[in-house]
Amino acid sequence: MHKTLIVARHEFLLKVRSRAFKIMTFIGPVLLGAMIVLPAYFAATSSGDVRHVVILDSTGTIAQSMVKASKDTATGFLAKQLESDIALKSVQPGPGVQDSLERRVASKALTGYLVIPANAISDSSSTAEFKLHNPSDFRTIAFLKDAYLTAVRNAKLQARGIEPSLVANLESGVHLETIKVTAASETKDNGEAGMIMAFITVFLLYLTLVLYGAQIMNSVIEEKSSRVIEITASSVRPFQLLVGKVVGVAGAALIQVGVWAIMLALLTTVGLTAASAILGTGILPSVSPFMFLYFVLFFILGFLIYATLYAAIGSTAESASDVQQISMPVVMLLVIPFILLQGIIRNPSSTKSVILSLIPFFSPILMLGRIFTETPPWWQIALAVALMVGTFFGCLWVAARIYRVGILMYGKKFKLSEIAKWVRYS
Amino acid sequence: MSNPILTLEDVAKSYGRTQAVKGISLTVPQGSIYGLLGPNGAGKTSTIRMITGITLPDRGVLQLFGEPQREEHQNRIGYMPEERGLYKKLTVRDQLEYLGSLKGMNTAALKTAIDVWLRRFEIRSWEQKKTSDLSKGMQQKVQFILTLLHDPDLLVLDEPLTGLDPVNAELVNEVILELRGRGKTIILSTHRMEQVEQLCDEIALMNEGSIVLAGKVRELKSRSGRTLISIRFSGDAGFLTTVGEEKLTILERTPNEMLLEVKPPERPSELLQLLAPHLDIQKWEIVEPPIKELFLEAIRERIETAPITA
Repeated sequence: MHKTLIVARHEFLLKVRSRAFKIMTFIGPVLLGAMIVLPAYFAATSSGDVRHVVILDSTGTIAQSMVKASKDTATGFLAKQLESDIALKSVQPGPGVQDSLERRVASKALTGYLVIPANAISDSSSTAEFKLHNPSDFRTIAFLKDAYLTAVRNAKLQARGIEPSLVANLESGVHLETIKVTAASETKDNGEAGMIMAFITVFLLYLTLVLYGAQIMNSVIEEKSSRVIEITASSVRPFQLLVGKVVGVAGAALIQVGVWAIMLALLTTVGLTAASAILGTGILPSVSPFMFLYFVLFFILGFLIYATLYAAIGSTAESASDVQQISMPVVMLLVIPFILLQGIIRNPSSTKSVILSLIPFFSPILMLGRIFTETPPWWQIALAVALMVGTFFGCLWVAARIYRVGILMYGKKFKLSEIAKWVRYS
Repeated sequence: MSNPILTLEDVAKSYGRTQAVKGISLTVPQGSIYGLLGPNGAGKTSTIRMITGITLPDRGVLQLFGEPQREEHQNRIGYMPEERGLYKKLTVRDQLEYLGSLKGMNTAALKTAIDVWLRRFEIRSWEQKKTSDLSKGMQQKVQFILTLLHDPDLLVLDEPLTGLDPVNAELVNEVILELRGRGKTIILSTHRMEQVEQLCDEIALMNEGSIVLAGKVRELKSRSGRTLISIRFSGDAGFLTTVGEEKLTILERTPNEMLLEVKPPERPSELLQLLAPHLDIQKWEIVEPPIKELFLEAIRERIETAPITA
């Protein structure tokens, strides 16, 4: 067997057989799934932490309609879950009532109380006051604001002789659907779902690159600090060692990410189907097999580029603490596109997006993000792939030179200028 | 014994501004044990790294097995570096299998070889243990097995006895001699002069990147022209310090034994007359200079003849 393959096989088996790998491969998606499912679960079921709000109504009608509305006109997902944990209660204003409420709020026995002025319906400049102990409780505030507005509006409509249900009728039956337009076909799509998919996928990629990059770096450092490198270097060329290591670990990573992707796809499909059923709208994004292939392609290329860089960095250090500083530039290369991603996804076809997504170090994240939101022209994808392949070989060339010198150097920390010298002279 | 298995001609290596090896030439005959000696920082490890193909010479010609150095030669060399290195988390067997396969061995041959050597070094029962769980001496044995596993034609051993108890040190020496008997060539780099005396056919002495002395051990000794006397005695030898440096030098001294160098024109018989009245002499022998003396002499000369730089 070719020595590069022996190294690759060894590194692959070493990774795949390790306990950490097995645990992460199968527990990872469970944890990720939990991250998605648990908040939804808690949101959907009552937390038991009911917020009690008292309404002091001087108009005599609004509070009643608010309490009633909160109980039976709950529509949609959000309202449904709010209904269960916000309890409204109407109290007649009277002497000393407000003071006692004030005390109960201050002692947190009550979440808050809403004071509705007597001229709430007749005077447009009137202001209701909501007093509560936690002004950051946006959910309660938003709910109350909405309920108050609806109640006042309905009261105003009634005052003008218009039946509120008539307005509700007029508003129903108006739908706006977002349709994703591609060259091939028009598909009913939900932009948000595509965006979520892009984020999930890209996050997976980012996470894997950072995690495995660090692992490759540590494995190089370990070989160096345990001095076994001297033995391997007397059997294999450093270049073969480097390539074998990167390829072997990439294989293991691909398997792990593959498992994650499949499990995640199942989970999100189930999750989104459930969400669609509740919301009654088509939220399911269309993930074509092509997208999966793109993901694999960009993952492999991105992995090869970054893993090579990490291996080179590892070869310049003797302990994990040495590399913190020197690995910063590489970490930045990964973090920058991740930060840019949101802007790119919002406007995937702008000149800025096109240029940024073609930068080979950014492509794995940004081009993939674009593909998932608004598939770019094929030549842009092809160009990105070509540039990445070229960059990989460039990185490999540089890394091999750093690696060859670095693995045999002990006892000092290296400045970037010195490492640059290795590249030029070795 | 005549075919050279390794030849270096004007081989040099620098690291940055440091000239580690300054154009050395040497020839190692097949089937010999060749001692590569010298103080720390003499350039031995740099030389070894070029021989084992870890680094390439900046200039000069390096020939292995009668041909210019090639990548494939690495499979015929077994290297035991001074700084021992094993994968800490791998088991003994996995370790040997992986590193053995990197030397081009196939699975079946590897398995047999591993079994044979584990048994020979009596660590068979440890084969499933992780390296980090082994004692230092045990790791040392694994390291030595690793060097031999692929039945190399040339072994490069850098301080092979470090960390071994006398019993295992003897076992290693025994294996080295056995390998020479099978026509293998061994390059031995060590500071242990008794091991050099016991094993080496030829030596090269390096200092500051150059070879200062090289040749067959026997020839070097007889060529030295120094008169050394080994004596065993009882009595107080304190008076010797008053004899004066022009007549003799004490090279080694234990309570009952001494190695003396007689300075010409003083003759050994005259020395005997000088000592006899004071000491009860039990043994009196004219000996060849030990390698350590050749070593020190060569380095001393070097220092004395070196130009003085500010």
